[in-house]
Amino acid sequence: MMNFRLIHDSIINILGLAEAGRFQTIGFQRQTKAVEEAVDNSRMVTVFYSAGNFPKTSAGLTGPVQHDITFRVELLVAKPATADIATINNPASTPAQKLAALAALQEAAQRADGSMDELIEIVYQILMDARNVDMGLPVGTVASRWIPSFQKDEPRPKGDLVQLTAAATLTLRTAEQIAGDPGVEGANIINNTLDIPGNTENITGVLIDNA
Amino acid sequence: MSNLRVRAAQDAKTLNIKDWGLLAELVGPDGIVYNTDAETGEPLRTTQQLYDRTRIIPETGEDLIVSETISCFSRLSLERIPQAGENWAIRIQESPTNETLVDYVLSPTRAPEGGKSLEQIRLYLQKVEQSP
Repeated sequence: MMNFRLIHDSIINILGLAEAGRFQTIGFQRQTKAVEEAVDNSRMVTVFYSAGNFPKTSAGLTGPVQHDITFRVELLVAKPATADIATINNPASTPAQKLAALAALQEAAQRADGSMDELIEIVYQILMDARNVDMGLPVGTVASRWIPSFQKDEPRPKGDLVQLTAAATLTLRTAEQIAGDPGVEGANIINNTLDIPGNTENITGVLIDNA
Repeated sequence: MSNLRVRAAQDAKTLNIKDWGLLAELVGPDGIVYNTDAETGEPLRTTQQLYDRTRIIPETGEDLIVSETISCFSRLSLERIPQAGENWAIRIQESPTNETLVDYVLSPTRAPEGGKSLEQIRLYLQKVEQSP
């Protein structure tokens, strides 16, 4: 397997071990994501191989060749609003208490923004951790690990919730060997003994009777 | 004698509540609970309660049903009309056949929409959970 695939699997493993119930890790691009799946601590971190560059080299026919890898890291959070519903719905609450509870309402976009900032911090600290400089692989496999930026998008109302997305790129460098494609293992050739009914010696031929 | 415009607004309220009305309760920014119809004194009902709407996925053209809760009221039913920027709590039926009221707030990102021609108001709701 080429190194970029090993590195991808290792990144997913690193993030998965660090989740601690704070987010969920997805290792491929999902076509659609239901916003309800990303509410609160189910916020999503999606990592996938996005692009690779192979600078031309005279390294020979079998490598190693330099592979400048770009992984895309996509973040998704979703939040509802919060309010002191218990006070608002309590028949014993006075109008002043309900007024105060409504005034303290925290809107969903604000909560989503705070949650995204927290997730960006968590993901950055995990992926840039000094202990992950080799991304969990043998020393020397990975070089030039870097996250140059995060880009936060605009919050969007999605149904009853507010969704906020962000993205970053994780760039790395590795060396790939060119071993050629091993192909697909073919069907076995089965060497069967010829079974001729009534013939105990299992040979064919013409019997010449010289009688 | 009311003119045709007034009659039209009243008919829009009466007929829609009769055919589509579901129970609702509003709590205004003043802390007052509005759960009775300002005109009739009956329990407050929406003229239309929507829970989902269809959206087209741009990449594939498929229809997707998304959860989006919208409540329409007749302005004639409301003692106080919600305005953009105000914090309102609203409780609506969980579903057309389940009269249990569930909690929402007015979405601060989408202002209440007019419909003054037939004295209607459309409110976009946002899910709310108990604050810590």
